[in-house]
Amino acid sequence: MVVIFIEIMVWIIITLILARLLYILGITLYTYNLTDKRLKGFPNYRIPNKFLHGPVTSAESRLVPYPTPHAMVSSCIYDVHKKIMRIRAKIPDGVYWSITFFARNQDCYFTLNDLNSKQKYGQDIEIILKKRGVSYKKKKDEIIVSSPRFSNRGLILIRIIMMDPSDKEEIKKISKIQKMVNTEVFDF
Amino acid sequence: MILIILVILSPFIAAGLAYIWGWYQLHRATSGDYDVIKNGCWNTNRRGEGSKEALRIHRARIAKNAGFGMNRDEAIYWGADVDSKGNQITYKHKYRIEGMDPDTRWWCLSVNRDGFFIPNRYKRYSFSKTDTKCEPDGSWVIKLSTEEQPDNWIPLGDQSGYFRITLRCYNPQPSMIEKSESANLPVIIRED
Repeated sequence: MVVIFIEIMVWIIITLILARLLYILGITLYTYNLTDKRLKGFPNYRIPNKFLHGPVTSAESRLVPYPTPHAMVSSCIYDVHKKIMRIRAKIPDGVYWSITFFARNQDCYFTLNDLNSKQKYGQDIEIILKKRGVSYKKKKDEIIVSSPRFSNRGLILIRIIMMDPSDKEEIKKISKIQKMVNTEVFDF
Repeated sequence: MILIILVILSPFIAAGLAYIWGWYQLHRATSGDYDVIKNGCWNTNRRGEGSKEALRIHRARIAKNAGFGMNRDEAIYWGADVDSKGNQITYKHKYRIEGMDPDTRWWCLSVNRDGFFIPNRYKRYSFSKTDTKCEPDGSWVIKLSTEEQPDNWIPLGDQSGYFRITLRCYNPQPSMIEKSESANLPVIIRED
């Protein structure tokens, strides 16, 4: 009787451990899968490592739910499986600006904004994005970022906040700054 | 014999339990009832939307319902589905949102339905720290209604059902990050 009881208890514990592991696996795959689907919805999905500059977010902005209001957003699907990517961008004056890197598990693994950047208004920021484990000799002022595991493809967003979205002059000015970002890819 | 049956059944039972637990957790996370910080009618994710500390279930929720949020140092996303008396926010009513600037570098208040801005002919979806008309004491009121109102008005368009008010605080001050429960946030008042 005691032996049967112990066997049943062991079975319950093993089943619960297995359930927990399957839960972790399932929820992780679910997240990766949904994020991949979102990424595929970006018009520049098939042109990786290039920025696409969005207009002022509006009711027509359907790319990602809860779009950032009062903002002009540039997006780039990065792919560093076989390449290293260099991003050069300029910081605008007096408004919130940030560049964020997202992994396929929704982790925002790198953020730089206009306040915490060493470079200031008008200066070039250079960020190198590479796969984990790939060696790269850092040049002066370059910021080196390694993509996390399973996220050699992911998303980069540059958000520039607007003081007043109805101000056409401001839109023009930010649009010009958006276009100053450029990317370059090269082999390891 | 029973033991063999149990061993064979084990993966199936485990898969069933994992599915039910995942569904339940996702439902809790989606309804804002799990690992959130509440401050009046507002709530926010305790660990940040895109932070490394975010729970797996919240990452899944973000992937499902939103996507690509920043961590709490960079932005705190507050959401409200109810007014300050706890009643569901609906298009049937007029609301006024009253407050002072939260402790953050920049804030922006917007209205969303199913995650997107509400279409309206004025193309006005949000107000922010820089374009909200303030009183001399620094306080402000943002009005939400379908009928036109002067100053700081977000049109609700021609809709029915529920909507959500979102307050984004960019580069929040340490006081807001560390004491989010008691941070200075606006109140949402139903007017009719």
